[in-house]
Amino acid sequence: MSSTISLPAAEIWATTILLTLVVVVLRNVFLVAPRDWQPRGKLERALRYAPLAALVALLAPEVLQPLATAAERAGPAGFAQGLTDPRFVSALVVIVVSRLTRNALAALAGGVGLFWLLAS
Amino acid sequence: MPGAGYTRAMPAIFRPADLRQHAPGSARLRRRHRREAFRLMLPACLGTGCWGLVTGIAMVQAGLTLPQAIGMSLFVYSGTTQLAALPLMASGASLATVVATGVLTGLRFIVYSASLSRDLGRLPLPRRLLYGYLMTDTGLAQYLVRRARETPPQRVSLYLGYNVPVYLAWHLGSLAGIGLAAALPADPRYAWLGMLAMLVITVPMVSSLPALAAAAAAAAVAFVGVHWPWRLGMFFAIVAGVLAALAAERFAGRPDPAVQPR
Repeated sequence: MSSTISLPAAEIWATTILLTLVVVVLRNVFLVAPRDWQPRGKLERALRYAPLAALVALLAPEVLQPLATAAERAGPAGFAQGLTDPRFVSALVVIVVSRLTRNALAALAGGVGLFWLLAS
Repeated sequence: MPGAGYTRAMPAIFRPADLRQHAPGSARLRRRHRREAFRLMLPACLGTGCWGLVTGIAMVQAGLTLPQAIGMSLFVYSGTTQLAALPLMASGASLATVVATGVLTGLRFIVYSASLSRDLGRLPLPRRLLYGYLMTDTGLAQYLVRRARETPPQRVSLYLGYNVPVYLAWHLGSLAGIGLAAALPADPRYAWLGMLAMLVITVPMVSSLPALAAAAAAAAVAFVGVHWPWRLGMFFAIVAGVLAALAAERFAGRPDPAVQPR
């Protein structure tokens, strides 16, 4: 972050309180809504996929960004270079180890270990 | 008479406390849920702690005082919202802009609350509000994969089992970041550890054709929309993922076992 916050303390607290209200309302919309509003049938089933989609939506740009950045800089050769980016490689290791072993800690240890090795 | 409508056959979570204490089966189940959740959520907790650490450092380095940073961490409890708000506050954006950004970055919570409403909707209002506040991306994802195996009342303890550890990990990481901000640089590598932990949670969820379709569609839209304003790319990625999963379910001819209705 290039600049720092120079708002009056009262405004910072007002922002915090309003953001809190926003998050609380968003998280509870359907929990406090009348029961008739609860999603049912196909919509209810569809919503089961929302967290998976949200996690992937958070992860995909981060994992693929090294490839895109490298390709933007140097074309296909850059793309190939992006394949060796520590972030991309470590993500790949996590996916492969997780698939092969079904052991979350082993997958995490493999990915983190390789990332620190390549990034440092 | 208070509690007159409750019987021993009723699920423990809907009984008054005096009856609940005589339900050893439910207590055993809650302990099992806590153990299972702790084991499953350990990698996610490590990652969430790293995320919290980065956010804590970012808040202090953005110019928040110690109480302000702790207050924001404890009350807002949403990394994406906090990290989106900080640069706006630093640039002197209006309060309305910061709040509008908070709404847009948190749109996914509406979808989450809709997916939880049947399980938590019968609880008293204060508990619904508290449990809604505890909702996390990784905790909810794990819960929704495993909820179908439990009866509705048992799902409450399952939900808490997955989300409370994430809550604790977040605040421990965030408080550590706030405390160590002067000594630690805002190294983006810490945040990447959080991403890897999130990946560990996500990979096993892609275990069927509809889940694969959801992941592929969400990834494509999120990647294309990464520079869209107010993180709208993420919201549309969720919508695309959900629609793709439904289309794949229709193609496969049967719903994903993990999302079978109760």
